[in-house]
Amino acid sequence: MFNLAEMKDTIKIEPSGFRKKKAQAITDEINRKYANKVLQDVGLCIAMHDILYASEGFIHHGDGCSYVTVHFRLVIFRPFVGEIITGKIRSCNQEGVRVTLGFFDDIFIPYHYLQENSEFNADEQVWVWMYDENEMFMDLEETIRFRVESEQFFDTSPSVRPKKEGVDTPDLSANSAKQAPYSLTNIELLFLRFEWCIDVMAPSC
Amino acid sequence: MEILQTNSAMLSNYEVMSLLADQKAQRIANEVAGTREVAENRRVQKYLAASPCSTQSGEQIRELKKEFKDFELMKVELLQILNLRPKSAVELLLVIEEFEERFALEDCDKMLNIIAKALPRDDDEEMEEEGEEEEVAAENA
Repeated sequence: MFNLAEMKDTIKIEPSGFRKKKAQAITDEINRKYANKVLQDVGLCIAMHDILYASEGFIHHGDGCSYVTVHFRLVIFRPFVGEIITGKIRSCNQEGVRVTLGFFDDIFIPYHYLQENSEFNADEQVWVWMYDENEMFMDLEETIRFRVESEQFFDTSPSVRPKKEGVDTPDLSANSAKQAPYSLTNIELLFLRFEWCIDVMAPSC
Repeated sequence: MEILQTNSAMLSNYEVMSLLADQKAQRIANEVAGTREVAENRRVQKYLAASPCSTQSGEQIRELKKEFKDFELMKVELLQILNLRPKSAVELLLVIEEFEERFALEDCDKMLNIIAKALPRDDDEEMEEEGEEEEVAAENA
């Protein structure tokens, strides 16, 4: 689920951070800059893992901050395709089921990837799995296991639109992204609540 | 900002959990005001505390690796066994690909026993923080 990414960056330490030990100051800056951000084609950054190399701090004239070139490793959340993960159901709608991990929400299971004979119960707004005339409700906040089938990165950086001559209207809607920068689309909603697997699936051993 | 290498090593949930706990302890030990914890990390810690890795330790992982050496599992399969701690045959067969072609059916029970023995979970739920090395990550890399 997690892996390491090696990065190189110039970290700016403000004078207010000079009282800290250098390693601590660099760690805090990196965590502030990268934690909970999605890097394209890398994944969701969780925290800094370790510092491989840090140069001497360089202070520009006119600016009191110390600039340090750092090689470090970040803990990245990026499940590989085919990995099995445990999560909680956040919401259901006709399109499918949305699952959350607490720190990562953009996991979606389209309805045609749920188990066969699953129906959407519009009254309760939940999906129901019919297995041998047993109705198994996929309630909210239930823990489920699922296998990751695909991931999607979407670049949400602001786009620069060419302006027409003579017209100068800032188009804010162009910058609002309704797409999540990193999302998982899943196949194979595996057996749901852990109790079910005993009733439903007969172990082959 | 330059990305030198995107997937230099894989980490198990246990390693991430102990890393976050160490960072928190270090911050408290340094007693520096103004270093705020990243709010998201609390959610990661909460998620990991509810997963099987909360009662693991470096010793247990080393033991598990040693026992599973004969089976020649892929790196990712061993990692998933660590993260998910399968308790039944169904779960194990999902994690290991093409089980019937690679192993005999008795191996399934054998593996489940190894997992239950190396990663005991029934008794205590306390988190043990030893001087865990991250050589598991280095070995996996």
